[in-house]
Amino acid sequence: MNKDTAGIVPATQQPGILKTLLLCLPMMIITVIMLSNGMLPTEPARLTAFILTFVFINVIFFLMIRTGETDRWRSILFVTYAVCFVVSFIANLIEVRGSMALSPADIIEGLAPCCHIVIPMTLIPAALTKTIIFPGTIIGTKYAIVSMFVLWTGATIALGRGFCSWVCFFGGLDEGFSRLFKKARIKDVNPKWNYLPYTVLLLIVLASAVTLAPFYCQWLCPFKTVTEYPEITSVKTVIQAIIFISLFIALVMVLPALTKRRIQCSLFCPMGAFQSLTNKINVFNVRVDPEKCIKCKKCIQTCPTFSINEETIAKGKTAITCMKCGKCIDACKQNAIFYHISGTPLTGGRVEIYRRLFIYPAFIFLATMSGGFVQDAIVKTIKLIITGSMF
Amino acid sequence: MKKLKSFLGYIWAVAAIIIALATFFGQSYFSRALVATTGITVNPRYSGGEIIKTVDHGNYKTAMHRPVFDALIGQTKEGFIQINWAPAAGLPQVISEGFDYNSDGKEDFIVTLNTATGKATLASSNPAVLDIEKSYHLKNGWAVRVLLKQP
Repeated sequence: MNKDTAGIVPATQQPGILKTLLLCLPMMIITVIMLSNGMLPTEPARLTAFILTFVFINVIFFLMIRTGETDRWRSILFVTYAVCFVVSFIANLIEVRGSMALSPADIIEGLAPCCHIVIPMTLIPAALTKTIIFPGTIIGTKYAIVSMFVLWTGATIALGRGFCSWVCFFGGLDEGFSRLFKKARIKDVNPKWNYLPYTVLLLIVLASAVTLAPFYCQWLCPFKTVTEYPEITSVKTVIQAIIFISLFIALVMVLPALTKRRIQCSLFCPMGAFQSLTNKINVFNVRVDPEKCIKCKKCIQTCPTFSINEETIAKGKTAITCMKCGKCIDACKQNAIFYHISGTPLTGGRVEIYRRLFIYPAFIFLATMSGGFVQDAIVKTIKLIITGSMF
Repeated sequence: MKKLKSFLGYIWAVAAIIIALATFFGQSYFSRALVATTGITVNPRYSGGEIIKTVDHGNYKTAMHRPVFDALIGQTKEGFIQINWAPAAGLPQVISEGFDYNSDGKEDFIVTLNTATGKATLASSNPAVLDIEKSYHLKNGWAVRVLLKQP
């Protein structure tokens, strides 16, 4: 085997247990600090949750390093992250507000938690009016608007569109459903649908600027179904609820399950489209060695985001929609696909170094973001089992 | 040149690890710095805008926000003004209070709010004051938005 562009580390090159542990040590230290916020919890439920989360996250990272497979292990944590996010978020909403519904009073009090999908909609109004068109708090909470901007900026510089597979707390839902069945029931999806997210992005950016309201949040976000939704007080809010639930069922549940692709993330999400455009400032990418490629099309079939096709393979690249999940890299038996760092040579046996240099920052984001929600979901579940209530 | 590009690539890749750590460890600092640098606030359509006048009634306080006509560029023809009353514990069952929102020395409207039911009524003496938009039961008080048009 040519080690120049090895994707999965062959058995002969796999690091031994000791070397793997050494490579995992920095992540263990980082996750201890991040998960505990610098102080170990003393309450038994929280301590249990901390230990379980720490072990789970670090076992995932250990396996990533040891086996050389990325997506196989990332996916487990990514889906867990999304599920725990939903459990933790809904439980917190009910604890704080008594309901998942966002009332008009909550809106004028700025009690809506902000998510990253809001960002593209706020940019034009922010530039022209110096205000954010979102009914949240500017600073000081986990879901504050500016905190979300800081998180997005850091993740975009570090990972580019890798954000969608390593940081986004919604993506795992889509991904989870896309892995429900072994085989795809719908195999052919017209590539023209790839333009839809850019259309949605353009529409929501313009509509939000004109109406000075986050249009996507008000009308199109499927994830309102599992987070918060406008209190049902009028025909308008009924229509909004119907749209949210319909989009969630179609784009996050049914179509991903039938196609085995991340349909919401790749064919609808405006944030994904936005990340494709901002990806250029990032140094990591996925490359294909056309000479090694035997055109088995395994990567084309497995790519969850329609980011690799015969045309991109011939160019030795993936499309700008690539979320750097690593699924094609894991799937390629010829080791023709690999993570790469812009500017560095495509040959020279450094492929595993490139991969590690990518998964360290990517995993720091995933571990830190998921860690809080996984711990919180475990604590809530323990409380539910012991006391019959999550609070 | 190739070596330099390669070197810079590695530097950037290692910097990504530092950026990832800085994003979380420095989130609070960066957030404060961003707010201080840009002076960004929540759009007044949501927040109600800056408070321009407060009246202390002893058991409770009235806060009058500035009239909001903010558009993406320029101003809209119609807007609103928000009035808040707090704390909830000190509010009487019925509040009736007059307001001079344009500071011309004349009362422009009187809002009457039933804090038990949330029903609000408006008595306008200025043609630019249109109607009650909505009353809001806040965590610690009440708010009313009154619709306005540009004079």
